[in-house]
Amino acid sequence: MIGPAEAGTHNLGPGNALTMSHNMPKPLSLPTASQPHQPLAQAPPTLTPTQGAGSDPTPPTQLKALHILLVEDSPDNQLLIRSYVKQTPYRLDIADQGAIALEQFKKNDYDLILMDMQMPVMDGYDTTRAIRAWEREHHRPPAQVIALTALAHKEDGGKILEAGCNAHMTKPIKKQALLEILQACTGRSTS
Amino acid sequence: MTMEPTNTLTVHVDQYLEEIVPGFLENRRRDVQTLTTSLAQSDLKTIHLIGHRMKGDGGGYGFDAISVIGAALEQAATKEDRSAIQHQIDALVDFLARVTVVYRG
Repeated sequence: MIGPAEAGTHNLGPGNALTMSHNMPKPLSLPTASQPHQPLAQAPPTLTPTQGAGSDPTPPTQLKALHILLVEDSPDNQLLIRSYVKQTPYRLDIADQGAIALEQFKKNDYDLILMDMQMPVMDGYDTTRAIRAWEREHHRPPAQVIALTALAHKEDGGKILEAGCNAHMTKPIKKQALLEILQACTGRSTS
Repeated sequence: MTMEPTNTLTVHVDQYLEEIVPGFLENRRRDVQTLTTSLAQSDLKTIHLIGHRMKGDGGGYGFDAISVIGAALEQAATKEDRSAIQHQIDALVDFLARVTVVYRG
């Protein structure tokens, strides 16, 4: 049965855990990143946004206009993420399949990719591997790839990082968590 | 289905989502139809996909209960547990009948 009245959209729980790779080429400077160098054999570090639940993040005035590719097959989640960045300078492109994402990636210079890992046909693992292979082949610096997934086991985290992702956010994605991570990436992309 | 006012579930959702929440809930009503048809046809792959998407999307819109139902649907489809699938479809129908959204600025 369904429980009592639902929480709003800013309740930050384990659903917004962020894990990061220990071998990230240029580590993100995240708000609460205290253990960024865990070996893959261990559970990746879990990071949470710094602001409390219920506070709506105010987009900083000096945000760089990140060019972001969202790879997501769920139309509802596409709409949701688009609404999250609506009042920001970030530019968001959307691909609903891995193969389409790969083609878009080749034609554009993305700062960041938000990659759903579980998609039909070509999943996020294969798509990320293909992106990394293309980058190597064309001597391109690696773009940041943040995996979006409902997976929570540490072995899944290792699989995600081995595919070439830099960090991992668990679904459902909340606005505050996403904006804080994008803000961290903004600082990184200008370095 | 007649619902008593005391059975209403109030969900507080941020104002900026007002444009897309009605569409999200309408899509879940469509899911009920698809899930029912898929169960009758033993199309567990479709049930698994819908459950997975509900799990990943619901909480972002403020509907944590939809994420919970989605996760249970996904698990039930994996286990080929038809009874559990029907139970979760019923839970989704119940939720959609009772939910009232209040937007907050």
